[in-house]
Amino acid sequence: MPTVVLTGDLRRYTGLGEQGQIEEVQVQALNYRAVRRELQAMFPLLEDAVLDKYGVAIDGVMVQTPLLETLEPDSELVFIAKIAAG
Amino acid sequence: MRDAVTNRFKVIGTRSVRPDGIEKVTGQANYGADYSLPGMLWAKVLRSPHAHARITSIDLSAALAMPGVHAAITSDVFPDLKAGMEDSGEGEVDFHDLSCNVMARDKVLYHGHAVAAVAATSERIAEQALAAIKVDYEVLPHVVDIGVAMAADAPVLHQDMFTVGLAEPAAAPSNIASRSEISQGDLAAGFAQADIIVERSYRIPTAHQGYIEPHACVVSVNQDGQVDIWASSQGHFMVRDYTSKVLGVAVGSIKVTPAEIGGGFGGKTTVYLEPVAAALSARSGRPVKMVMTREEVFRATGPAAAGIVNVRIGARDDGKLTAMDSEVILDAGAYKGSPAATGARCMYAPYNCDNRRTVALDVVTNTAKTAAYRAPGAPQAHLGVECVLNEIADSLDIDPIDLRLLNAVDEGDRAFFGAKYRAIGLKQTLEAAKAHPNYHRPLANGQGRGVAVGFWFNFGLQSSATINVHEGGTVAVITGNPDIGGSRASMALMAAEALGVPLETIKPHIADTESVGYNDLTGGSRTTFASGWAVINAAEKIVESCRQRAAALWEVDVETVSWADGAAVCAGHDPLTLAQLAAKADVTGGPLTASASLNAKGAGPGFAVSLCDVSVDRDTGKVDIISFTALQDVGKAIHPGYVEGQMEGGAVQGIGWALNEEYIFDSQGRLENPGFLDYRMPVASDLPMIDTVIIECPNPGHPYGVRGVGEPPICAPMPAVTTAVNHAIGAHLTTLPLTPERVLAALDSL
Amino acid sequence: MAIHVTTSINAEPVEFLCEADDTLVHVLRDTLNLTGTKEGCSTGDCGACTIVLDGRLACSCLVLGVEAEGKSIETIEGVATPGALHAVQQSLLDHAGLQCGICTPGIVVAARALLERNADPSEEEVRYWLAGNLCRCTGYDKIIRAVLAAAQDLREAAS
Repeated sequence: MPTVVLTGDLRRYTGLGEQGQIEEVQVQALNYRAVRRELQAMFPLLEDAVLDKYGVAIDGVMVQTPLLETLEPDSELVFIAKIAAG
Repeated sequence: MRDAVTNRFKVIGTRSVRPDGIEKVTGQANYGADYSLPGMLWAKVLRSPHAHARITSIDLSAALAMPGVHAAITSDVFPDLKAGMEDSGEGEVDFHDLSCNVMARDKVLYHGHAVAAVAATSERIAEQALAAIKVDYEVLPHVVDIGVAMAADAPVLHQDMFTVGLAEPAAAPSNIASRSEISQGDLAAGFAQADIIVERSYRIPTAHQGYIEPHACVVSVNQDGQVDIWASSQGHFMVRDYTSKVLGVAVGSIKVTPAEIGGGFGGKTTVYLEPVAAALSARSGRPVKMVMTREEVFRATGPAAAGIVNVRIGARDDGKLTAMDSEVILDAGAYKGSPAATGARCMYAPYNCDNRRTVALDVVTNTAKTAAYRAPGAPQAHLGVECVLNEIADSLDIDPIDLRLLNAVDEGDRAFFGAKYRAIGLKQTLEAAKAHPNYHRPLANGQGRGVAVGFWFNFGLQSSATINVHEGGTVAVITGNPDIGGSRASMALMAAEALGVPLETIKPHIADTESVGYNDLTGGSRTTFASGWAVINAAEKIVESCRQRAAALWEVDVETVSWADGAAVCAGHDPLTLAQLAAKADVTGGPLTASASLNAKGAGPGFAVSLCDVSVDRDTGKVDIISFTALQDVGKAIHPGYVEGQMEGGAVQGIGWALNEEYIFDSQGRLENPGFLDYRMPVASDLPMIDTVIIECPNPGHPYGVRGVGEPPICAPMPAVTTAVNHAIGAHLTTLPLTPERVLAALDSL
Repeated sequence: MAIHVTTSINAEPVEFLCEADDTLVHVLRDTLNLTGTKEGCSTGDCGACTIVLDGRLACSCLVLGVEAEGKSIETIEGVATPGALHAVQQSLLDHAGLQCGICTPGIVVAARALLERNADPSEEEVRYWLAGNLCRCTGYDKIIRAVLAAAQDLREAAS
């Protein structure tokens, strides 16, 4: 099952452990939309408006278009706060 | 992959002359202030004389009555935009704040904040008209220091700002816009395992990006509402989109033609003048030109964030890190949005450590809204971690590079910001630093050495390219990212490589917003990576089309046609070159052209190492850089000369920030040094040659292995210089810049 | 009241009208459309507006337009001859001695003046001669190397 890593402030919406701790959850989903649906079923506070504020890395690669990506059973999807650049 | 990438190139990696070079060495290149139009007016901005005040009234009537004045505006002409963050590609923007920064509504929040503007037949008349505008202010208490701004009794800039990210909702408005925290492991247990713990608090001043070209634009609004803009920026699509928001005009009604850009470094990633000039042009029916003075650039355009960085790190006797705890407090200026959280995500990125935490605070002050400056937030954050690591290495008597190698991340390690690293070159870069002769040069009395590591994510994002093959076989490569440091050269090299044709046949162009697909900013070290990738994809489409055309001419199956050295090849036929195929374009399918757009994924992180030797004059406190070595994993250097240039330029900006550069405010919150004489950037005689070492650990996420180059170079110099000075004088200076006064005071107190 | 000025720019006779307090850089750029000379600070600190005035280097933002009366001005536009760059210009291209290029016209004018006075400057002499020309992109390294190489090229061409 793919692993989803929730970093930083996302933990505020999951109620898992201490605020800020990195936490991993397993999902059945094999694409990004399904990952979101499953997460939102687990953690209702993770609304679209919350998740939309985060970037996504899949298997170590920052992905700009997660809607187009599929996951492998051993994939790891990480939500990462968006960053600004110079 | 690595060898395949490194060995297969014909033109990539050569030091070709840049295609736009002759225009730039002869003065023919047109920058923002070099454009003019028939009938053009000049516009000037009236700026706040107070650091914090309520605007009670503005009377434009006397200015409007002056001969030669054609229009005058306040923020009333702009729609009052809804507050709230909107996604804008490379980060989020609150367009309410952006609009208020372009021209103040209700309150001025910093000295120099735009209040009104006038367009007249000459600059002189426009300036005279500014003096005729009557503004009444109710002056409010101000705060320019982030430490003071966080205090409970500090003047509050925004009554509707409540700290986001607290465990409990904030009860009262605050200057702390947000708090974000990332942690992993068990900090208390980590510090309990430590044999040594070092804790320090660092202060970093506000610094300006210091581009030599002031912001400038010409805007013409036609009777039908079409807005044409010529402007210098790090992204003309950004200028179009932001201007559209501030004006409330559809994106489709705005066309932006990019001027050459005279430096940006992150400071030209937003708009200041363009919406103002557009509003004045719409009201006057004439084109309007605006050029900032240097003083305006210093007072009112985004400097880099001042910071307080508190760091506590624990390590075992063998140098293994057991716990890292940090607080990164960065100054956003007048409106929220400092890069504190970004810096906090960079500061531990080079290292493995099981127990660690960062807390990032975004704080507003009565100073100009800050803007990005090369790896925004990272230099400030790295300063703290890298200086403390050097102190730990000193205490444990471990070589500082060995300490870093012991804890360095490598492929497969999880970065502190969450993702697992693919191939990265940190260890290679550290090993190269350790082996460099400059690291083994004996130090004389009064000299000191410092080493530090820097990290930047590097960005992908959206890019587009079009390639047109002309009759005769010459090739136009059209992209949409302003060329800030030689990117036309890298686009030409990548196109020549992908097409297999001589570099001289390629001519790169940077098109206006209607002549090429959308492009995100020239920033984030993304242009060579992402726009280059779009060029490669477009070139591959040309190759594919050429193979099909050749197959048709030869009456063979396209699968039997290959492409080699710029020509279609098939057994039993003479090769058909790109020029020959272009000559037959009309009968083989029409013009030979291709476009490609992408939202590039797979940007590979970049690591840099700085080695610095300084000499300190114990009588004057003056610090001289006697040797500086910049090493960096760049993935693949497309044009090594311009890669080295990025490394050298970033090093010197970091040296300037460490030793000289700072904003100095008076008791009224007015910047006291808004000019190059008193805001002293490094000049040629301040510096030695900068030694550079390019490390090439190809990015597996890019067809040519590119990572991105421009940002890591500024991340490591500040801690390297600071450590070198501290080693030279045996002190623990933690407040930048390391001016002669501060160094002397430290020497006196020893 | 506008003042009539007769001068010479890049060996061409030129006349213009200006106000008494108009700076020469504004006259060059806005009146005469010689925009190769750049304006970075207006206070003589950045050197982007460097010109040669009667044989001496000057920041054209610190010179009044009226001061050009009867004088000889050389700007970046006069450095290259048709089809031939000056050795400093070619060397800057060969050594990647410019990034954004906004300081480049001032650097070219200043470096040419140095090499006309000193055919074999040391690195330190080049650094001090160009200390009045700010460059924020390059860290100066490649500019200094380019000027030293141009000096060598000129010496070899002369010998």
